[in-house]
Amino acid sequence: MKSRMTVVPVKQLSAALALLLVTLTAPAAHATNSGPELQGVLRDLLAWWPGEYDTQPQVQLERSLGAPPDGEHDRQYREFTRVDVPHLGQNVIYGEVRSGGPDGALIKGQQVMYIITIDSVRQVVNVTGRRIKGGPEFERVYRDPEKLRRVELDPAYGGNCDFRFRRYGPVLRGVLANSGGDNRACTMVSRNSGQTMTWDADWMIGPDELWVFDNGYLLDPARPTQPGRLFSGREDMTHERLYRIRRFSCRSEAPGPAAGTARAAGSAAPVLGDRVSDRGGEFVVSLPTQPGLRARLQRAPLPTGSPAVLEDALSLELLAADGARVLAATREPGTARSIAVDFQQTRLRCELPR
Amino acid sequence: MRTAKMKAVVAALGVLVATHASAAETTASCDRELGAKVFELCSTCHSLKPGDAAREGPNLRGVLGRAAASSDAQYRYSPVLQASGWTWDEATLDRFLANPRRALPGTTMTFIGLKLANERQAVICHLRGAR
Repeated sequence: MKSRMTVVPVKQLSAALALLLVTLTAPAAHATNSGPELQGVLRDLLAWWPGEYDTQPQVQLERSLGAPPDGEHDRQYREFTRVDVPHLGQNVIYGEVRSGGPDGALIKGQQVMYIITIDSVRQVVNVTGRRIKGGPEFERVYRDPEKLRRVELDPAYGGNCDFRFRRYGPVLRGVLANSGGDNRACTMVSRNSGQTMTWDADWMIGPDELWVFDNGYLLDPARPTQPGRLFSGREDMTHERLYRIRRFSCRSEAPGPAAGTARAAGSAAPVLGDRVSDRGGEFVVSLPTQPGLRARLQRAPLPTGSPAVLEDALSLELLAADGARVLAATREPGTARSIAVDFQQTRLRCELPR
Repeated sequence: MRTAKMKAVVAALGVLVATHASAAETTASCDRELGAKVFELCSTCHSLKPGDAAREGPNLRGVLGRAAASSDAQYRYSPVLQASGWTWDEATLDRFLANPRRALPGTTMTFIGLKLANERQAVICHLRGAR
């Protein structure tokens, strides 16, 4: 018993020394684009990317503080969902783009499966975006596992361009390149028209933001060394800044009647808006004396007292029926999980589901 | 009195001649070559060939004079275009082509637009030619 007691610690010590030796001689766990770092990029990409995003805060800010040279950015909504499609890959995210906001129309050709792999030779995380066959029929396909099993990639589009993702400080950044090449831009021939197009794209993904720059140029055969004429994107080379949407449940906590209905003590407060987007989502608030009021929930980089400082804030505003006059407003830090505003005898509260 | 009438007739004729001259000038400035060249920017998404199916956008053959969102029954037009009440005449096309997303927020056409008026006119002329 005694001898065994002495043997075990020696074995443990040897193991610890061996581990120390391995640790000291191995490359640092987060060396630039090392295997462990790329694993970390993949992990963060899968954690951060899925979700709903809206450019609404950017549009609003540009409207109030000034637009870039090319004019105000467009209102755009993007939705990304990790999907289980083993026939396409192990790590796959499905994405859709809508014009004008969450309820806008689906942009044709923007229903894409993003297949994610680690490329240890180039030391990047590769994201290959491929259009799906059938387009609109597969709108929000992630909701239907049976349909997901039937999803096919459209062979007529893409397959020769990859986003190469690496970590850049606090964000992950992917630049588009020709598959198998190292050019910064991606060149492809349109199967529709036979024309050569070049895409210059640069995406940045953080925990709450997705910045998208995506310019398309049409090559002029008379000037093959020039990038061509811009036909899609922005001349001022600025990014669409898409902000993550959180969905709040909004209720009236009026001690008296609100939303047109009296509430018995102890009963659940009436829900005025379910799944309200914190990126400019609105809902109707009808008070007995003032029907048809509106409330707006807004998380955005909002101006503070100093013109040079914007802070991530969440605001809840009660608006007159015309939508122009603010009757009451309150502000909380952007990450707040609930927010309430009082008006007359009514308290409006919006909170994230627990 | 007679002189006054004569003057009015001459003035009216003058207006008529000026209008006619202006129309002739528009036709003369219809630069089909430039129109075909600029339309190459559109042709990755739109065909003008008879019978060609929609690409990202609908076939634009015969679009001039038609109600917006009406030329291809199979094509899924954006709700904002369907609700626009537009007819594709020179004025609406010129406005839309200058900056589609500014002219019709919510449109699903991702084309950046044509800043130069002569290019827009040339494309409209090219579209008019494809009937």
